[in-house]
Amino acid sequence: MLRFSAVFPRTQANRDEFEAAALPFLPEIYRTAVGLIGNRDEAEDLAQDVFMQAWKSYHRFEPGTNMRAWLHKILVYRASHFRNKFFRFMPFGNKEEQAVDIPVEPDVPDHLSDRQVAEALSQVPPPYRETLVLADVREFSYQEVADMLKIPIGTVMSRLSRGRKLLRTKLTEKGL
Amino acid sequence: MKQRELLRRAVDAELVPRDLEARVRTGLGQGSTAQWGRLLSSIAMLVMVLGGMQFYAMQKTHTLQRVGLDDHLHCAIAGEYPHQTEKAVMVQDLGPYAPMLQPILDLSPGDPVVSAHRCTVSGRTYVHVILRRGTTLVSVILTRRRDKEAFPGTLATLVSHGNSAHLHEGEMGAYSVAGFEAGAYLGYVVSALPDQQNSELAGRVAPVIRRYTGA
Repeated sequence: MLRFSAVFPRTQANRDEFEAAALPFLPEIYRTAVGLIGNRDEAEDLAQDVFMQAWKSYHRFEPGTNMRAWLHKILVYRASHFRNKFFRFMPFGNKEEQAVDIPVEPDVPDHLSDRQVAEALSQVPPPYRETLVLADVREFSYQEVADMLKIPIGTVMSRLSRGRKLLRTKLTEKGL
Repeated sequence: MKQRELLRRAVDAELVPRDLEARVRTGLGQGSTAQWGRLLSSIAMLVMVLGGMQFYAMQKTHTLQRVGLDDHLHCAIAGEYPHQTEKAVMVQDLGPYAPMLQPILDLSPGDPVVSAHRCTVSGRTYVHVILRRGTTLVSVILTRRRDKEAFPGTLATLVSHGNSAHLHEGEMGAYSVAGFEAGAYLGYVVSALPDQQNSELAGRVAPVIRRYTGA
């Protein structure tokens, strides 16, 4: 049941409840933020912002539903400020909106360090990167990712396919 | 190794700053404090605005009440009123306002009329009926409204009487003043009677005067 803002008191007890429910996801939210925007300092600010926003909107959170998905949804929304900056210069063709079959994942060089993989990820354009992070790293369903990004599920699939290819190219370059 | 596993491992290998949780907790506390601060400052602002409006309303009411009191002091108290003994003379002095006289007298049968006339005080023209209750002179006064002369409609200065006549009451020195709007006119009952008696009479007189002024 929703708790209305006007009657939802921000008491210490409610804050304790919020912290107990939400803060265990802080490391994951921070790491996802780094993956999404590729900058540690901005990711720290973003993670703090997510929890502040979540606390403000806690009356809208339905107890018993998925806190992790809710926090990620807020993260994606707040990260959109960063994303918009990058999107402005991103050319999109019609192909991007077409649903495509997602190919079987090929193997990639496994001698790559985590730092090299993170660097490769940061070089993938933001729209594909965020789909990769949410779907492949955080394992949200296509539908959940579509809801978070407010895009059709077919677009999620096409971005994921393209993102994987782009990442593979980057990883292969680093593995040579 | 599959690309997805490699990617997951790399993202989750990112070290979380040690103090991040502490900063988030601090931020949450400050958020609550800031929210209370915003609420309190909003309330303070509202109180200030309402207080300011109230102060302005009281000042304006006082100024308009003074208009009626001035005539009462000039004519009734200073004894400048024409000493008429014949009602016909009063009717003549009232001119077009004469039809109001009898209904006013009918409302206060125990209070004999001392004078009914038109007069000018400080460049302002008044229609003035003076009654006597015991040893106290009671003025029923009417004057044309000037630009933007209107009683403020705030709770602190507005009192509704039984017959829904909106009165703006106040004590000014030794006198009780009950003012009201009557179309293009301002009406007053001014006397040294207790405030309640003065207002009670005003509450009965106001509807009659409004009827004659077309309000």
